Amino acid sequence: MMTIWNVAWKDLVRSARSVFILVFALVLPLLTTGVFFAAFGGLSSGDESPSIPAPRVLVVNLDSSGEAAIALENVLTGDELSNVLDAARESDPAPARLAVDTGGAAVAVIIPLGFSAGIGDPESAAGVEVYQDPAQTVGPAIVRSILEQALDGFAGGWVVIKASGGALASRSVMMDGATAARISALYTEWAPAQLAAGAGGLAVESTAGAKRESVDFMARMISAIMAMMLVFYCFFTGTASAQSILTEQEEGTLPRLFTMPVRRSQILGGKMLSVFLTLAVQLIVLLAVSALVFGIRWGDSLSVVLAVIGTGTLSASFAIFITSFLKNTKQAGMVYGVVVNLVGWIGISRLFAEIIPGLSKYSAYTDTVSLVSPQGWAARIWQESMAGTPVWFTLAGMLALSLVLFGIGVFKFNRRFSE
Amino acid sequence: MEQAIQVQDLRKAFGAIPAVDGVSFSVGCGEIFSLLGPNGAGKTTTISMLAGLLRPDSGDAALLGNSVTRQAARARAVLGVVPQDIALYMDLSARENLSFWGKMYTLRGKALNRRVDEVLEVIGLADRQKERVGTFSGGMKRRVNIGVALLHKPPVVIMDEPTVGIDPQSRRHILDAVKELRGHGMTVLYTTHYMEEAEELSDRVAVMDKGKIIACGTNAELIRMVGQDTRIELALNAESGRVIDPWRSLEGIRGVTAEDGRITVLAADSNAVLPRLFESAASRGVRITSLEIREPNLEAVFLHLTGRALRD
Repeated sequence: MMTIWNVAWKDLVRSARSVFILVFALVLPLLTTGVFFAAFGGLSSGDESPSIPAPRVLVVNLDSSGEAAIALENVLTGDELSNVLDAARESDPAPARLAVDTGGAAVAVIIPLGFSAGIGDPESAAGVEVYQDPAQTVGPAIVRSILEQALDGFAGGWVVIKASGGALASRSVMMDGATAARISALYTEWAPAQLAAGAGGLAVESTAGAKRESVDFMARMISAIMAMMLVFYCFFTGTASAQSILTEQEEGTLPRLFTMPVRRSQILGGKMLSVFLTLAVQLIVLLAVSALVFGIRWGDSLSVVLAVIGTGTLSASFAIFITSFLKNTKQAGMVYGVVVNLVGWIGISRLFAEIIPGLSKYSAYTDTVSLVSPQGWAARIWQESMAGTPVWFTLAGMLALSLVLFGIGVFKFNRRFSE
Repeated sequence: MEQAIQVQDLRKAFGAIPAVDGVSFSVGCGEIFSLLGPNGAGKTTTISMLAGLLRPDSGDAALLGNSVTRQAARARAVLGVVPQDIALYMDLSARENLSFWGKMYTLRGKALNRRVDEVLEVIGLADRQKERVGTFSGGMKRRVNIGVALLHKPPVVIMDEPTVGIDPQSRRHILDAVKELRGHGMTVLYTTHYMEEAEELSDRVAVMDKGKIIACGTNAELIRMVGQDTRIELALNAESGRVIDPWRSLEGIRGVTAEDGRITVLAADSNAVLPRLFESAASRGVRITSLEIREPNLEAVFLHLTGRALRD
């Protein structure tokens, strides 16, 4: 056992000194994910601040005694929208407009006198003035979106009167002016209260919900990209490590080992152990760094451990398998470049559905096809771990596949080195 | 003398081509024995079978009584091999290399560290031990390559052309180190195509050609095969026929031949004969334009046995 460990340790030291392996094992997967992370901004949870700075908004309420106006003013300047709008109250429209003109604010929202009284009156044109800096687009768009939803809610009063009138007419009862006024009054009392409570249908809730959904998608996308990189480069690292068998054969160190009082199976066992340990180190570093830097949640501890075992074992076995068919490092360069790449892309294709929304309808197809490659199984176990679903079945499949690949590889190597 | 290496009718063919064709020899304990022959003579194939890297088609060999085919592990345990090509980890330091290879020879702990220190002194690289082997000169790499084979103090060491392609200083260092091994009671099987190395180092030499041993013995025994005469090779500014017959009758001359414009004179004592040759040529108006004296050596033995020069 000591001989196996000594061979493995020597290979680990050499791998740690290999710039090529370090770049492929650690730098490229993190760099690729980092590029996407930087391009799409922060994510990881639905509670984080948006990457776009909150626009400065000045709210002028000229209908300071009206309930609806007060409710709208409170919504715009309240805490719930503080991560979206940097809003402040202003008493006079003129300085508010001046602030927009001079760049002190992106938008001035001016609630006119009589706004509250007019929202329930279908004949009235209860409107809110949005005075904006024409050079700015995002901030005013956010404000408009919120206002439109709020005003739609208020306009509901007029719809209620119309609907009520229609219902009465269907029973051959004509709505008189007093009834209409009463319905309008009731709605006018009810709507601001709903607005102030931040009820559904108004801007506050729906806007925040859309943002959270967007952030969740981003988190899923970055996680999927990192999973792809993890799987893809793990298999490259495995083959690069296993290539040391061919390298040592060419450099004469393997034949020299064969002249020593150690069994060939010990030498081969040491090389395989080093491949597995290299992969384990790579996986642990990638998981830890990606969790800390990108906030990726890989799953519960047990699932992650099982996924590491499955991925490491399958990568190492695949590396031994494919290397056993190669005669020299020249062949290895070509085969690793083409076969591992091709099989790798097939395997990680199942993760594309999580990155490109339009592809989700093909996920059943890619999920099936990807399993023809070992990388597909590895991608699947990480998907399951991140989703919190059981990984046992996939792990069993990976270990079974590992056994087959490893057995073929060892058989071929034993035949090659038996002479 | 107890035999350290016994080789009996060893044969190995690659396809239809016999690389080693019925080789037999034995090497006594503490002896330095050289296999001398040109490239492709079968030297490396022979020692590859002794080292357990190749399985013989037939025949067998034993190292201190351990058959390389039936008791391979025991045979390998008493053997240190210096391969022809440098077989080291270039990205590890000299000390890391020696430590790793030492572990493969089952050395551990303090014994390993002590032995690594000793070997670093022997190969003269104690002060460079922490540097990566990849940064060493060819000669320094060769020395580490040899050091690896000495780690476990093997009673039998096989060295396959260990001085190929290195500078004279490193070559001298290696040859001196090989001689020291004899002082430690080690048996050395040394392959080379440098006649001078075989002459300097060896107690006995086996001359190999085309997979066979064509002669075996001490330097003196082999040279006696071609006689003790010195060969004097000359070129003239005139037809050789003007001097050949007169020279054959001169005192001390054993024979004169002419081929391709060059004349070869065999003589027991070149110092005594040379003045007579110059005088005879001058009296006939002929001038000697070049002259080379060849003392009897292994090169002459190989030439005598194969009709070819050793480096052909």
